[in-house]
Amino acid sequence: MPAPTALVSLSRASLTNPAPPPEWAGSSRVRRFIVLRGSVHQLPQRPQRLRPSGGQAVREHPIRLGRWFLAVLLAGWLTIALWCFSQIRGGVEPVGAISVAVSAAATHAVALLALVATLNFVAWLRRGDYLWVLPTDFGGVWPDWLVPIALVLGVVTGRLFWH
Amino acid sequence: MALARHRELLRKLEIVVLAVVIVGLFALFGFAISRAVTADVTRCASPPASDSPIGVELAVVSLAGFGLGRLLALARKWTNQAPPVADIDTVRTGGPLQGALAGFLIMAAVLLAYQTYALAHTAQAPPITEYVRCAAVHYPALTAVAAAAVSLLLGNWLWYPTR
Repeated sequence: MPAPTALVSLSRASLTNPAPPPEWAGSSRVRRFIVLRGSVHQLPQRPQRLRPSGGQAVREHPIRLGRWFLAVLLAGWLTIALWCFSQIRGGVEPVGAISVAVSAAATHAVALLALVATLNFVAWLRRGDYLWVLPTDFGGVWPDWLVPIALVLGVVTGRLFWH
Repeated sequence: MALARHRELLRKLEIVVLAVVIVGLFALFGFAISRAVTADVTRCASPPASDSPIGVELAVVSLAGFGLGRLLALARKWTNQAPPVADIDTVRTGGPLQGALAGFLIMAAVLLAYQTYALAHTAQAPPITEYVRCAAVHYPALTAVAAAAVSLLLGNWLWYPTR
């Protein structure tokens, strides 16, 4: 995969242009120049927010919303659980109320993920910052096996109550 | 290792397999929707007879597909020499794929919302469960193929190795 244009531009510029003034170093306002066929063009002031990683360009500066995402997720689930509890106390059949509650909980989680994915897609279109809602370090916990355990528990529970 | 020399071929094979599974699923769901439009799914409100093995068979097929999805994820990680998920702190997914993911999640959220509404108001709208039951009774082989394909993709996606 070819290197990002900005990177190529910078490397070419470094061959033909003097280094930028020290006060520009590390700033997003660093001016970038591109030299093509002897002419000098100034790139837009807006930073590209791209950097090369593993042979492809990735965006920098994630907006980390992990705790907010978790808070909204848990608040929704808590609300659904309280509604389910109130329904059962009101005399509704538990299996029916729990069925609706579990489906609503799944809807809530998937809808939040869909919102994040949509915002990230829009961010990709606009070359903006992307959202990051999952931690990269799970504190030594290996989450791989949580998935099959949840799956088996779900199948067993479904077999017991929803057959 | 001899297989390491064929990574490029395996990458192409990976794309072909995933494309075949996805296109096949679209074809199956298209067929299912065309049949469901004219069908009376309320006849499938009750589960199949207790002596019918179709439920257990579909559960086994789904679990096998999910496990196969894990193996496929391991193979894809090895083929692409992808870094561990826990070490990735940037979005590496391409923009079009992000758009497809957002579209898929929105569709899933809408379907789950319908399922929640239908479970709470069974008289007004038949739950998706009834469509699945109808499919399992009338087209068990096709339903098993669809269940295996969906489970394969879910296992590949949700049970992707984190290390």
